[in-house]
Amino acid sequence: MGYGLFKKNTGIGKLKEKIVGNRNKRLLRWPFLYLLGREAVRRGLIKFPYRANAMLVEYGMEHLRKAYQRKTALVWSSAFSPTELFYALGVNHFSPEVTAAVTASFGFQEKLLKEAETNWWGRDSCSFHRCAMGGILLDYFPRPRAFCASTHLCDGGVLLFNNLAARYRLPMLLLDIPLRQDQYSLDYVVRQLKEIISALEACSGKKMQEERLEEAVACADAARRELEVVNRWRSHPLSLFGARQALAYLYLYHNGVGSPVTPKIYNTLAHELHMKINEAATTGAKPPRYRLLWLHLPPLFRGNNILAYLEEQGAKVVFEEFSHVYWGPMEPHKPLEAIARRMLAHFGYGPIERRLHVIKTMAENFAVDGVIHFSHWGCRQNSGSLKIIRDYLRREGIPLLLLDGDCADSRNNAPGQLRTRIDGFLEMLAK
Amino acid sequence: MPVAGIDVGSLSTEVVILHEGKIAAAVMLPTGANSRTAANRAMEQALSQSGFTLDALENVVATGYGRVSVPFAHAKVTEITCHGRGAHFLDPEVRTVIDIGGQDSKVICLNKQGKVVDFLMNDKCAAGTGRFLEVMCQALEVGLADFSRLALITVEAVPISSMCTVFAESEVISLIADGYPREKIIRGIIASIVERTEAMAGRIGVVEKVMMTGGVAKNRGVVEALQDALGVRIALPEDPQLVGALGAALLAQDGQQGRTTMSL
Ligand SMILES: Nc1ncnc2c1ncn2[C@@H]1O[C@H](COP(=O)(O)OP(=O)(O)OP(=O)(O)O)[C@@H](O)[C@H]1O
Ligand code: SF4
Ligand SMILES: [Mg+2]
Repeated sequence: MGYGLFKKNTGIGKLKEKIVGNRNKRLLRWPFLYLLGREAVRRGLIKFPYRANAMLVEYGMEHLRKAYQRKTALVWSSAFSPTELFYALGVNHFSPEVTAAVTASFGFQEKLLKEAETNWWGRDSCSFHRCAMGGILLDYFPRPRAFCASTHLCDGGVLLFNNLAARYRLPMLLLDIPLRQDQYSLDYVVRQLKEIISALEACSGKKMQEERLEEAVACADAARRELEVVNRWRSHPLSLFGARQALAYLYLYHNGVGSPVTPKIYNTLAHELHMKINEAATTGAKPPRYRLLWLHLPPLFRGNNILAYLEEQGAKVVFEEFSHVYWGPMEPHKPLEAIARRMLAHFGYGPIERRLHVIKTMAENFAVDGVIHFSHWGCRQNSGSLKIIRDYLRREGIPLLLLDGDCADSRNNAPGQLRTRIDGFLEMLAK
Repeated sequence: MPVAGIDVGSLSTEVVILHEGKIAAAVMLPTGANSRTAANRAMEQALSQSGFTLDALENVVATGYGRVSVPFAHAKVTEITCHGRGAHFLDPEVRTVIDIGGQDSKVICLNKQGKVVDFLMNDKCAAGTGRFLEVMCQALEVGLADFSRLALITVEAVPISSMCTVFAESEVISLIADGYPREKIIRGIIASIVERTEAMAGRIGVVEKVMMTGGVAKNRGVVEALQDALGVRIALPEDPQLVGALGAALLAQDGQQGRTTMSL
């Protein structure tokens, strides 16, 4: 029983499982498929509620097309790695973690998870990594020439990449992020970025041009500015663009920093939000009864509708932690230093005070009535600091709901219990 | 006008009918495989006990896992709010409610007004709940009543190392085969439940007065061990298993008096 939160993977879900069958592997790996997809979007054959969404899908299709074509070198990158370098050098990159999330959102995760588990990938590990491993073992994912992982957030990504680099005898480029944000750390990261550039040059046969690097940093900075505008519109009381609408943009947030397309997409979205909010205000649209902030990711797998369920109850998740702009202005004339600063700025790393500060900022900017913390199965990074977050929110007088589950592996969720916790929390807010 | 509360739990279904501030009927049945059938049957019995018809009920609030499948309910409210409401009614001094039912255990914090201010629930696993105890009773070949009685004979426990219900069951079976006295094994089982509950209570912070609700509160052995572990006295209602349905009925009454009843 799904208790109104989860739907069984039947009908179209099962059909899609067939699509990931072995016979169609070649199709998924065929760059032309993504070219077709991109063109279909470009020509308006597929309709989207926002023009920016179409641009986003177009970007995604092009990103995947490039990843699957063999001509240019491909690097696998973990979440929060320095994507500016890839754009500047003109190498393609592919994030197995983000792709795992996309895979789950289409309902393809079961086969991938099973494959990983059959091959001794532990069931207690993070399902994003397990899913990614399944995708690799089944040969669905494009083959890289190198792996680039940063130590941001979790060790799972680094371990996965280490494993793969050894398996395929390919270079592993590790970016070790220190906990402190001082000059020493900055120099340390800059040195590593230089080494990564040399390694990327060696495996791609390309040479890094200083101007291209500056351009990529300027794009990353523009993305920051535009995303801040998007987030300001998102914080409007009408909250037209909540977590449910914004989740797809995580693809851009993780892959697109340094691309010239990214600021354009955010800019378009900001304009559209501005217009839609003005329209909605004139038609007397009502703001949600409760405004909630989501920490970590919500379940993404197909068939779950936790966010929609919340909205039906009048509680909208107005913002999610992973859309927060965590880095400050970037100076294109000192590109490596600027990238290093962005790397060091992440709030999910280092002293917990950084994350607390971000939680407070988001809670204030979005005037939330409550916070939901989702403890994703196997993610120690996120759940380890629960007590501190809880005590902190208690002091601030912000109600907190703790949910345990899994973003990608539906088997690790108990829908009846999740529903009781959610309902109980909303009752608590109601009184 | 009479009102009713119905608690369709994973193991038991209760109905309480309130009329003019008094309990006009209280029924308890096993939920069984079909929660809708259980809800209908429990309500039929409560109606015949009280002499009212279903149409005469002004307001019906459903709670428990099966709250979504009660056809005659006007509103659905979670066990969290209902146990809180019921406990506050029975004793307004209560600040912490520990509800251990068939598959869930919850610790609920109340303020002076009886409002739920925080709560914690066990994780997905049902170890350390009523169903776990029932499986252990089967392995020991004792009834629930004997289980409680035997627990009070000794304070010595044979530790049960496994958390998982299935493994704990086979562990108990092999302990019996090894000749350990049943009462010591029972203390071991209780210790494992108490440990989990104590950890959960510790996480949220126990504020006195503490009341225990749900079927496991009928297990003297568990209550006493929990009392020792937490170092607090635990108040027990006359029938702990009815508190959810009572709270639901009270919320139905509040709704009838013009106060809002949540319609989740
Ligand atoms: N007379 C008794 N003596 C000891 N224990 C009892 C007695 N009656 C019930 N129990 C315990 O209570 C448990 C059932 O509790 P309860 O009826 O509160 O569960 P529920 O509300 O159906 O479940 P949940 O709230 O988890 O969905 C049984 O599993 C059993 O362990
Ligand atoms: S969910 Fe946690 S463990 Fe998984 S990739 Fe994200 S940070 Fe790492
Ligand atoms: Mg119950």
